Formats: sequence, C-alpha cells, structure tokens
Amino acid sequence: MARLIFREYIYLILIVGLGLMLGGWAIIAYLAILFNIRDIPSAFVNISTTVLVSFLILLIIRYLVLLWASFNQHRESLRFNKKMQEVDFTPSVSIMVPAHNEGVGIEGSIQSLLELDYPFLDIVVINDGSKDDTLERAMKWAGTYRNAEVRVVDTGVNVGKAEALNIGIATSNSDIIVTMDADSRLEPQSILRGVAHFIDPEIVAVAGNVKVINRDNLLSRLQTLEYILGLNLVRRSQGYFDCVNIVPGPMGFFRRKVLQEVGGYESDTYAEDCDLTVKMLSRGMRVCYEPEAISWTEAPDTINGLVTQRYRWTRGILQALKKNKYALFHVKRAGIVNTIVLWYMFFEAIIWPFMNIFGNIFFLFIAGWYGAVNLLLLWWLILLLLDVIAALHAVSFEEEELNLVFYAIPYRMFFIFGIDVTKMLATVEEVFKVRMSWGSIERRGTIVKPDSKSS
Amino acid sequence: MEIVAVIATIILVATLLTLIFSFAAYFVTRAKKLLPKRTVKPENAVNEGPATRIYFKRYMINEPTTSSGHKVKGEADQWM
Repeated sequence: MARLIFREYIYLILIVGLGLMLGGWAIIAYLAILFNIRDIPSAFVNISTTVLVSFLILLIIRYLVLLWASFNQHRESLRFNKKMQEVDFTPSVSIMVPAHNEGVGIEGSIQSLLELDYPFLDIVVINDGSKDDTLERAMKWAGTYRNAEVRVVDTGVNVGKAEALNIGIATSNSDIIVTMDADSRLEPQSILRGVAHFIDPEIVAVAGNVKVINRDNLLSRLQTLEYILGLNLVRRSQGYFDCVNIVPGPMGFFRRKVLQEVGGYESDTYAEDCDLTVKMLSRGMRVCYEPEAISWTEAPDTINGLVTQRYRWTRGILQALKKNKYALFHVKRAGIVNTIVLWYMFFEAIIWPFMNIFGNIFFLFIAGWYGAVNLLLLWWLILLLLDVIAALHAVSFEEEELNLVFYAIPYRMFFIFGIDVTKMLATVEEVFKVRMSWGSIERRGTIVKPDSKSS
Repeated sequence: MEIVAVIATIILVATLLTLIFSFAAYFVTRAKKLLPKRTVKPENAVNEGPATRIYFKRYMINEPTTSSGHKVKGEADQWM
C-alpha cells in the first residue's frame, strides 16, 4: 500500500512538473513567435500567425487536460483493480472472433484464447466468406474444453466485418460480448480486467488497451509510439470521464442487451467500431477504459499499408460522425461530457490535421519568402516538446520501453505530418463522396504462435 | 547561433521532403490499390461444401442485409 502511495506521489510530481514546463514553454514560444513576426509587414502573415499561435495554445491546453485526466484515470484504475481482487464477479462472456482470410493465424488465435484467465468462455469464431483455409483450420478447434467452448459460425458469403459480428452475437446468450480481431492476441488477464467494470450497471462498454506487437522496423516502432501516445493516452483520459469515443476492434467489451438496444454493428461506415461507440455516446451511455485489458495487434509495416489503414479510419470516423451528427447539437440527449467528446473527435479528425499541414506549409513559405526560419523552428520545437512530454508520461503509465520516447523526433518530423496528409486527403474524398473502392490490408501473420496445433 | 541555423535548415528540408513524400505516398497507394487485380484461384478453398461438425453452424446468407435493413452492395470486404 505504501509503495502504491509513493508511486502516485511520484506521478503527481511528474505531472505538475510537466504542466509547469508546458505552460512556461507556451508563454516563451508565444512571445518569441510574436517577436519574430513583427518585422514582416503582411496582413496575411500576421493573421495566419495569430490563428496558428492561438491554435497552438489550444493544443497545449489539450495536452494539459490529457495529462491531468490520464493521471487521475491511472490512480482510479489501480484502486479499482485492487478492490476487484476481493470481489467475485464473473458474468457469462462470449468472445467474437471474426475472421476473413485469416488461415495463417486463426489457430494460434484460438489457442491463445483457451489460455485466458476466466472461469468459462464461449468462443465464437465467425468465418466471413474466407477464400483460404480459415474455416477448416478453425473447425479443428471446435468443441468443449476445460474452461471454454469453441464454436464456429460460417456466414457462407463475405458479408463484411460488421455483419459477421452481428451474426456471431446473435448466436450468443452471454451477458457480456467481447470483440477482437482474429490476428490479435489477448493477455491472460484481459477478460477478467475488462469484464470487472460491468459491476457498475451504468457502464455499457469497455475499451481495451491495444498495443503493437511487431516492432521490427522504424515504421512499426513509430506506430507503437503513436498507439501509446496518440490513442491510448487519449482513451485513458476519456476513460476518467467514462466517455471513450472508440472501443477498438481488437479489444472491446459490451453488454449484450445494450448492443441489441442500439441495433448492433452497422455496415454503412468503414469504422464499425467507431460507429457503434458513437451511437452509444450519442444516447448518453457511459463507456470506460481498462488499460490492463491488453490486446496485441499487428500494425502495417509498409507505407502503403499504413496509408490504406489511415484512409479507412479517417473516412470511417467521418462517416460515423456524420451519421450521428444530431448528437453534436443535442446536448440533452448525449450529455455535456459526451457532446464535448464528439466535438473533440471532429477536432482530431478534421481541424487538427488541416491546421498542422497549414502550419507547416505556412512556416515553410515564411522561411522561403521572408527568410524567417526561426518561426518554423519554433513551431516544430513546441510540437516536439509536447510529444516528448506526453510520451514520457504515457510510457511510464504503460510501463513500456523508455527508448520509445526518442522516436518522438522522427514521429514529429515525418510520421505525424504524413498521417495528417492522408487524413486531409481522405477528408476531401469523403466530403466529395468519392467512392471508396480500396482499403484492404494484407496480413503478414506476425502473431502466429510457433506452437500452433497445425504446425 | 550556427547550430540553430543547422537545426532550422534540417527541419526546413525535412518538412519540405515529408510534404512531398506524403502526397506521393497517398497517390501511389491509391493508384496501386485501384489497379485491376489478377484473379487467382485460392488454394485449399474449403468453404464451398456443407459443414458436418457438431459445433459448426452454417448461416446461408444469399442476400445479406445490414442491421438497419438495406442491402450490402459490393463493398463487404471491410477488413482492417
């Protein structure tokens, strides 16, 4: 207990220190940019700089809120898990494993599910019209085991992930539905940790912690940092307010009756997980986050794969927001917190990528036209500092590799800018309703267990 | 002061190159994905025949519909 308090104390010092650094840096940078810009007699330059600097301050406030809320969530999470050790709460659970051409990893996936720490699990493998041997391989494992029953459901034709999940869910009678990807691997304690939150009757869904397993090249390591810094830190912060905006596909927990109430997954967006969560938030429901419900997933390890994935994510998020746009303006139904989170999604999906690209191009122009290179340097260093501080914070909470913090430099220099360009172009295509006819990602089968039954 | 100029130049060049490369990556990926694919008969295609296992359930969906009731057209392959 004493150790726990000491740890919290250290975190508190860390977060106050980081907050003061951020605030101080923001003031210095703000003054420095204004000082540098005063010699340029151009209304365009002055207005643009004012907009960008104001935006930067908004961004710094965002980071401060993230650090503060994630710190509180971390404390709450430690206390909650300690409390839950004394409570026997194990409702019936069905795990949905939708699989489309996952022959290379499906057996390893099922095998890993049989090793999960939970009294009894209903494991439902849904073969969604695979053209490889997914079905045959999955069927080898169908049957009853000591702590689980494995069932295989075949959709017959390829109906898409959303519909495949609905079909699987329809075959289940369990109280809690867990969704994952066939190429993901769960940590043994994941189900127990995630399900525990349903002891609160108001919690309708729990988002798990998705981590990148393939960290063998620069691109995948940058994504590892992005998952920790850009996705999990945000989810952790939202978790403090029980308003997580995306329950991720590789690790999500839902009350089955609530899934039925909101109409389950829908196939009319390209991010069915986001769509489902937004539907719940727009009804004022509470969605929390469990950092110890860990799912390891394979990140794209090529530029093409990454661009494809982010294109789909961006369009999917925009489609989900568009479908539920009434929630953005009907605060009474969604509740004030959920409404803010939905607007925040809009900010992250559209406003920030556009502003980041505009900022970079604008300061490039200033540097080339007026020779004011300092502005680009200041802009870039402010963002880098924010990334490094948030990375230190997130890496310590996630107990991840410390050297990931150093990746913040290429992360800011190349990665985020590239991702933002993809987001911006995907947004333009979504606005002009360009038919989306590309986007599937090739799986490498990185997570296949060597001791798989068939090998 | 020189070191500041060096760092600023590196950032300047990196930003410019990233900008060009990011647009290029997007359009190259898009073009590659839209190229017509050659149809290859899958090896070990097994999901054609009826199932016999006890725990196996087969759902025949000839006309798949979404939960909101409209038909799915041609874009069912939504896998990440």
